[in-house]
Amino acid sequence: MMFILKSIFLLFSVFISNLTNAELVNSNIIRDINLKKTFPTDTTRIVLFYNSGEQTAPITEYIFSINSTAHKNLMDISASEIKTGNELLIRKLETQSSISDVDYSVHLNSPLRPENKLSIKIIATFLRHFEPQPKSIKINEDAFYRCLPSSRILSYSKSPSPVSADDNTLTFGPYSRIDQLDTAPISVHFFMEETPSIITDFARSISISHFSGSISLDDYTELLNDGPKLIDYNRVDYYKATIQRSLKNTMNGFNVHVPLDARNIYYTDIIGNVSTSHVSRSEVSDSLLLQLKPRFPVMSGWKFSFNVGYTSSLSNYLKYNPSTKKYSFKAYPYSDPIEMGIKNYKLQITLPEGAYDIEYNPSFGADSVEITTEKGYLGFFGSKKIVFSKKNTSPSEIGPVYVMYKYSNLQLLLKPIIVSMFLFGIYLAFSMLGSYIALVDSVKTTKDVSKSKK
Amino acid sequence: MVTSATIYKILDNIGLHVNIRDVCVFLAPFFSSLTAISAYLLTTEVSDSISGLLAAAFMGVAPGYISRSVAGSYDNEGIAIFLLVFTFYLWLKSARTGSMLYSCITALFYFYMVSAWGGYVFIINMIPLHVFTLLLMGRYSNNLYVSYSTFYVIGTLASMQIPFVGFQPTFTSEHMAALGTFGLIQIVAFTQYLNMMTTRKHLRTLIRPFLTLIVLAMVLLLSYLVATKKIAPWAGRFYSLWDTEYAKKYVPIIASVSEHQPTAWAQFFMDLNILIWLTPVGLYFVMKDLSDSRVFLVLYAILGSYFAGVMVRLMLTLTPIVCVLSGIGLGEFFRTYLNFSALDNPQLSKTTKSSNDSSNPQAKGKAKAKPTPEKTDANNSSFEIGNEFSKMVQWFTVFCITLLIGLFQIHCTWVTSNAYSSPSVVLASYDSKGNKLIIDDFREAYNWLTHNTPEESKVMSWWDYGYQLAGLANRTTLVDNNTWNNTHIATMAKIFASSEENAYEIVNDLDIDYILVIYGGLLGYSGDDINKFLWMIRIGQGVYPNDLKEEKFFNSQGRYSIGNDASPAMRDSVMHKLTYYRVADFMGQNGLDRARGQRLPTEVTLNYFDEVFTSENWMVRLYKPKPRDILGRVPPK
Repeated sequence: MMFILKSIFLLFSVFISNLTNAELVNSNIIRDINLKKTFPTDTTRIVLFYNSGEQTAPITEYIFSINSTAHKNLMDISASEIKTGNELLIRKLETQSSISDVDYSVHLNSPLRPENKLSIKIIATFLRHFEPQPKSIKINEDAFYRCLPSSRILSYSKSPSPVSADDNTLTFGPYSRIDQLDTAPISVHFFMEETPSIITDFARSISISHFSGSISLDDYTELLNDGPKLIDYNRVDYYKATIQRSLKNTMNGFNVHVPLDARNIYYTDIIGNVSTSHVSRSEVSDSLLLQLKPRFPVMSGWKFSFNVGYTSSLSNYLKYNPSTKKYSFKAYPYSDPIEMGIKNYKLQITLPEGAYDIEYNPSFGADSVEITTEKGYLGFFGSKKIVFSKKNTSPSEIGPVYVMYKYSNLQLLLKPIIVSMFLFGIYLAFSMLGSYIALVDSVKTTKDVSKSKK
Repeated sequence: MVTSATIYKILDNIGLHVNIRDVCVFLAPFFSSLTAISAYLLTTEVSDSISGLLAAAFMGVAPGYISRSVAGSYDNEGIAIFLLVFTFYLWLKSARTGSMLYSCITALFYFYMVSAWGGYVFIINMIPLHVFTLLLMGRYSNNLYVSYSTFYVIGTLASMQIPFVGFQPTFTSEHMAALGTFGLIQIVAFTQYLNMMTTRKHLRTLIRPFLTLIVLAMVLLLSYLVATKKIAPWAGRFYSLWDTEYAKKYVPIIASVSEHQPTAWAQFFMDLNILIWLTPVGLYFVMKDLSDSRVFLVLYAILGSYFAGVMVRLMLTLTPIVCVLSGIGLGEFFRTYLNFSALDNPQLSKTTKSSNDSSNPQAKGKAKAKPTPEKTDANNSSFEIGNEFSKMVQWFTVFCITLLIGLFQIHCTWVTSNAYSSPSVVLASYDSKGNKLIIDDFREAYNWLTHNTPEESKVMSWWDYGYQLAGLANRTTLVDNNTWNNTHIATMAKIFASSEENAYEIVNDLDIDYILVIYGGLLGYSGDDINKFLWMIRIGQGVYPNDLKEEKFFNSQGRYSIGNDASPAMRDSVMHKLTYYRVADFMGQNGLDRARGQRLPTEVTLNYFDEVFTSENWMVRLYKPKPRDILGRVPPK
């Protein structure tokens, strides 16, 4: 069942044109806000009309602004021309027209000439974050959220009229003659069955070892059940709901796929091994299924964090290109294409010591990429570490990352040579000390002998 | 702790980037290997290397020591026992050789021991006692004088650098023996010196009144100082070594710790097994051929076994000497029974024996000589048969003893894996089919606290869980396992034993955010808070005699009951309410408390506190005091 709000949803955004003198008119705007998706989308279709006054210069830029509260959860924004379907370049403006808004500029591929019309579409995707209303619930009470949707709508704002509602769709408007930057808040209060969980922090660390021919991978996940705060906790109620299989608003476990050759799989948190996990052959080919259960049921408003990690063969991820003489490493940024938002995403790849001429190619738009040097196990010069980070993303959005580097196989010998030199040095020192002592002793005894002879 | 940090830094600097946690986990096993080596050295010092090897082998497997040396038991005792044994070894060596170098090293290791464990008092009493006994036995030597004087001066000065010890060596009773012995040995040395200078007769007239005067003056001074409290009286824990009832009467907090209880016989058997009867054997051989160093072993054995009998925890100090003596006993045994050359060629055996003796001045090998006289007495024909027979007997005995040692090894492995290898924070049980179930309630609740409470919240619990809460949950606690201050522990006891209304006031005054109680009634876990409750009341009584009365918590039949027939004070107490709140709803009205085998109380109300979390098996229950009512209603709504 599709739930679409068709309205001029002013809570989210307003539109302005960049040319104050020119008469650029949004002659028709339709906004579809789909709150039912895991990642709510806000699709705005705009028909622009250039009502030329004295100005005749063609317009090449259109400014679109998003409320800064909503912007915190923005995952992705894109613009296109409706008629041709061509992608339009959209970028964030450094200067803001007001504190409450974040402005984006859409570059129009074919400049809009006076008395012409142009239809564009702007799609913004958000991480799901709904404000719970009421703010706290008891165990197994229904959770309601403000501003978002489902088949059970408790209430919605009746203004600005006209507002009409049917089943799953609320329609606000049509409204005419709206000024630029004009806003009017609207809200929806509704029931949602799904637990609004979100990953607040995710960090994947991969380190490559040519010496052992393996990679070791560690995923740190911090989970938040974004529902209303739980009050009046009662273990008896929880137990009853569990045996009746009617437990609501609770995360009780999740599955992670790991490669078939994964060894040394672990599932820990800050205080050690979490004793509730299970590994089995997955239905998905070439993988194992890791069934994880948090230490405690993550009930409404609760948090839990854990680490999952394993070792896998390097050959599955690494290729050597003889023409460029470079290794190419393919890193998967997430194990499963799960539908869950990630607030802060981080991918760290530690290259073997001695890797040089490093290039990388993240297929997702990382917010920042850093290369640092870190001393590893028996490391003497430090290994290079590449850190990709991104805010507001989801596993389905981030594609694989490629890292290319040069590496000499002679480096493999470095560690064993240094260690054996070290041990040999100790041995040499001891044997020299021993022979020195023996020498001193023999000198002493000869002296004694000569003394006694005298 | 300094030790593990040092090891960590060294490893880190040579490029082995290990986790500091791994260093801590493997610290105890690493030091236990050093202990085995020092046990070898100590035994070799007084006996020979065969006994030394056996002693080291025993040291490596004896459960009494393994309890502190398994990987993951990160405790001061882990390194302290190594230091104890090694210091004793160095001491014996320095006393024998009179080498100042060795006594300096002894003092240095003593200093390390002082910084590591409060049990250093054992060394600083044991060594003077050794010296004192030697003086009484008339075994004074210049070597002894040199080594003890060097050790005492350097050791004491060094130990005073530790903040925890400070000036204690000068005024506490625990250190007086060492000081007294130091004085005494000076006098004795002086006498010896005079002895060399003058004739015996003159000396007597000179010494007698002088000596009497000094001793009298010292005794008077000491008793005066003790009476005026200039010299601190013995700490409670040490008193309880002499009077086992002392702690129960005056310091219930010491008596309440299970490690401070007198040791049960079964515990001795569990921890030492065959070493129990091998020790007297070793002791016999040691006594038979007494030397200065051997006197030390005898003293150590006597004191060690007495202390181990008083306190379970001191089993740890007994274990090394038991291993050493067993090593000596068994060494003598093997030397006798594996000496086949004595049978084949009595003449040869004599020569080997004598060469053995000359090579090792410490081993006198008297026991070895035993089988030889029989053989030389026998005539040739019976010698042949007797020889064959003796050989068989020898083989049989050796076989039996080896079997016993093998069984001991199996016993040790079993004890280690069953009793000492499981972490106390995770429990394991077995269901009816024999599948292992892991009960991880403690960590479940601690982790919940970490994630779902504000970082600055203060958690109240009985002191047993203090370190765990701080370490695993990263929350501030009101009391923890450091029991130096009795009053705040007693305050916790008072809160738990008070009625809800009174407790709520104290809880608010102390700014407590969460209260943690342990309940084992669902699983049958007997170490829970209700079972500890009587101790809490006893400890609280010492500080708040007017508010807490132990007898009030027994019901009309004088029983410690928790069900509906419990005494009113018991039923009103916060501990009882927090523990049994909603349990009957879960277990049913006729439910049974499996830890105590009693009926559950059916009506438990809670007005001032809210349940915020209960773990899977109800072992850990967390409560939050209700916020103060803005309208001043009682109880707060």
